[in-house]
Amino acid sequence: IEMSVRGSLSSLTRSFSSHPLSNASLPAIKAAVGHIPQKLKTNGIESNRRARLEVLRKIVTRMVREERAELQWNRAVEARPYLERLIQLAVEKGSSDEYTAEMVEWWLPEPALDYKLFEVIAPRFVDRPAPFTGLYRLPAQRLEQYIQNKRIFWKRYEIGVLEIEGNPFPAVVSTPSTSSNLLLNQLLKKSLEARLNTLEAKK
Amino acid sequence: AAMRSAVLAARRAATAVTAAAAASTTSGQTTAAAVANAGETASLRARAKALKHIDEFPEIYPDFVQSPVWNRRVPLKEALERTDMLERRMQLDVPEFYVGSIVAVTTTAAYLGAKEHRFVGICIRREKPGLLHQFTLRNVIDGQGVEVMYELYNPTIRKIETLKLEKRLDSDLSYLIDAHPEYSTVDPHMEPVAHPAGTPVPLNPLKVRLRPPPWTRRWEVMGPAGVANAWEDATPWFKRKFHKTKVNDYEKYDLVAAYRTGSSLEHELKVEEEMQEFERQRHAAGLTRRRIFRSAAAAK
Repeated sequence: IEMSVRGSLSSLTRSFSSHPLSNASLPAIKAAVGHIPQKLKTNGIESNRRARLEVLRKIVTRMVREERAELQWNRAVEARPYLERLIQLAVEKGSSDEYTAEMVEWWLPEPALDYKLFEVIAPRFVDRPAPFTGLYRLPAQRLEQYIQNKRIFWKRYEIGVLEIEGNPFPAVVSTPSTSSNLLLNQLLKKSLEARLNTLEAKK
Repeated sequence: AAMRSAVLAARRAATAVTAAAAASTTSGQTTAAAVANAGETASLRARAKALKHIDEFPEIYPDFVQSPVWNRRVPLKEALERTDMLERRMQLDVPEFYVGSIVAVTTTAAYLGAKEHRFVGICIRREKPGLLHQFTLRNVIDGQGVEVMYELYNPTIRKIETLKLEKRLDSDLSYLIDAHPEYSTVDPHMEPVAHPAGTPVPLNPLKVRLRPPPWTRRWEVMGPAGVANAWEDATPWFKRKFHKTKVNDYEKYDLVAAYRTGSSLEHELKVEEEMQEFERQRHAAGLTRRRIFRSAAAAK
């Protein structure tokens, strides 16, 4: 079955336009790959292989568009290696590769996302090795499902944050910042030092 | 191109220190860790260059590629099998051949006068990893189509010769069973066609014409690239049945399934390193100069 492969995208001026691993096998995916593919059940849709790929495609498209997303933990875990592989293809092979272009056309059906992948995301990782994504775990959420005989039934969702490294947002896990550079603390520190000096001078 | 990019990669790795220090990483990595990690990509490419990595490794050495079944990839088992495989390859010259190449295999045959039997045919498939690796040759002899499966590491194989080195549009030529006999007929006494070293392996873009249906398999469903007019030649009954056929051509977009079935660069480099070390040791011992790690397309 013939697949329509788009023409090669015109990449802007790049100092690293040559792709070293042009025909070779790709390196391993530096994200955990489950040994059994998850079903990724969705309300109203039969869980088969096609449905699973569609759920993953929507997640990957959202990730490339927004670079960070909160989603169900099991879906984040499942989608992470797909996102890693797509970015790896963009970094190692580039837009001119036939296979890469075909994969990107299917995985990113929205307009301009292929440009974003090749020209915005991939250049970040030329010097930076895998993993290209980060996965964090948030506290579980209890969400109201339905009320039956005045009794509320809840459902518990495990939540994860999936992000592409180098995104413009602040870090998910913020590094503890020191407050010793605040003006008040500096003034206190200097005044204590001055006090100590005067006491020593008196001795 | 590979050399230039490797040089660029090395240059980038050298400047990664200043780049990491200057740019504020949102991932929260420390500069020390960033420097340590920046060396990894450069080192993989540098290692590939240093080992003179063959890009077509999975095509030339499909027996050294890991099992397509993820759970059967046991490092110890693979390492043990590899030692035996390398040992055998030092005793028997296994030439480079692909699916579509014309190969001659000489095996021992105790019941024949000459004590050996030679079969010439076109290679139609290569399957199984490790010591189980097998290839099937097809030929038409006295009007009868014959397919013989040989296990590559079978000790009764005396000689394997590639009479014509070429590739085809598919990696599996099983459809030749339903094709006209002339596509499978190979002259048993054909002279070897020399392949000039350093030239790429030729791709034969031949599209085969199938015999009238019924066929052994439904070639019209996923028409192989090497078959001409599979859909047109199918009967109306099969074309009507196609409406109910669950065609799963979306599976090719499953990147992780392809990853689990396929080969990774790290594994290939590891195997190449082992091959070269084994060769070095055996050549140093002085008994043989046979080479295992080689490629017809690479310049000598």
